[in-house]
Amino acid sequence: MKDGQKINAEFDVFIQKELDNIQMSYDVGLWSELKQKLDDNDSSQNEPKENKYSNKINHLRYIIYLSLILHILLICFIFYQYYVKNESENKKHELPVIESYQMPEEGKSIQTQKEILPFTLEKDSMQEMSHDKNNDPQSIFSKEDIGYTKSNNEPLQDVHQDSFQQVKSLMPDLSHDTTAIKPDPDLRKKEEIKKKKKYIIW
Amino acid sequence: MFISEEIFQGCVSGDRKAQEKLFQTCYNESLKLILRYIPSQEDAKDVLIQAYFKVFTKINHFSGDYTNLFGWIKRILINQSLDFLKSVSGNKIQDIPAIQEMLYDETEEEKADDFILTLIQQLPEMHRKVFNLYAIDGFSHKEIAVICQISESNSKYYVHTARKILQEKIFKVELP
Repeated sequence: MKDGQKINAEFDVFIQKELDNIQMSYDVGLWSELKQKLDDNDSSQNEPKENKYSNKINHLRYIIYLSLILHILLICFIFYQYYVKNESENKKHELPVIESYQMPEEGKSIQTQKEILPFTLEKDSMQEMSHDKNNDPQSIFSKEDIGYTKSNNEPLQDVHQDSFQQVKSLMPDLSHDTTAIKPDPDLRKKEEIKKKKKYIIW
Repeated sequence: MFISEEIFQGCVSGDRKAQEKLFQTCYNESLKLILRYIPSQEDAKDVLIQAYFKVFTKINHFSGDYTNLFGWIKRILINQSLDFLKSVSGNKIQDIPAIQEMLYDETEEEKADDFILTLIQQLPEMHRKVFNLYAIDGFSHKEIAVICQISESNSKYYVHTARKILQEKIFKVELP
């Protein structure tokens, strides 16, 4: 060790010894101040612990409620997607129920159980009907089925035409009979209203 | 200084009597240590209370042997004192007074019981801090450089200058 360093070390020891000899008078007030601070700290530490704990529980509760609500919403959405929506779509594509179709009498009528068409349809209504049938891909009935094949919608002339004429000649003339069934002039309008109602329902 | 296991255990369990006993036992050394860093008595006492509050609230974290407890307390006292100085002086850079100015500008001290403490307190802040840390509390220049955010060579310079000032003043009082 160099002389300079030795002197420095001795000086430091001297300082330390001098400092060790110093006696400080005890201040009682300091302890009471410190004690007060410690007591305050203890009391304040006990209260927030409970608050912190209850806050955590509340927080957890909110999370559970929120997740529950979200799950319910999710289930509702899935139900809507897979059941309600699909069902409604299926209904849209479902073919309209035609309960039974009677083959029309020669040149006279198309008859269903629900509705009775006039014996002789006007030309316009027949055209409209054939037009509707052409546009409807789901139609299961061909023109032959209902007895109209010609563009002017006249009754099909087949092999039975002669016999039909013979039978007709034997039948009494009912043109002046007021009790005979006559075509309803408002039938077409009624039909249209019915059709519209059907579409609205679907 | 003797700290019994009973006092230590009492402090760990938060017993006020044990805490008071520990405070009384360490009071002299603790206040002297703080006064070396902080010349004002009032400020030193405030720092002492804050430091012991920390000691009693964090004593559960002390993992060493109870015989080394004062070493741990000492470290807390030093840190608290340095924090106080930092908060008071902030980050402003202090001008280093010339050595001659520091030696002869002061009034002559009479030799009292605590005259060495008074001489240390009269050192400029950075000199006082570095000298206390190195010469009395046993920190290395490397540690001081980190604590005071200065270079090691600066630390050595402050210690050297502080010693020179103190030696001059002591000789002046001892050999008038």
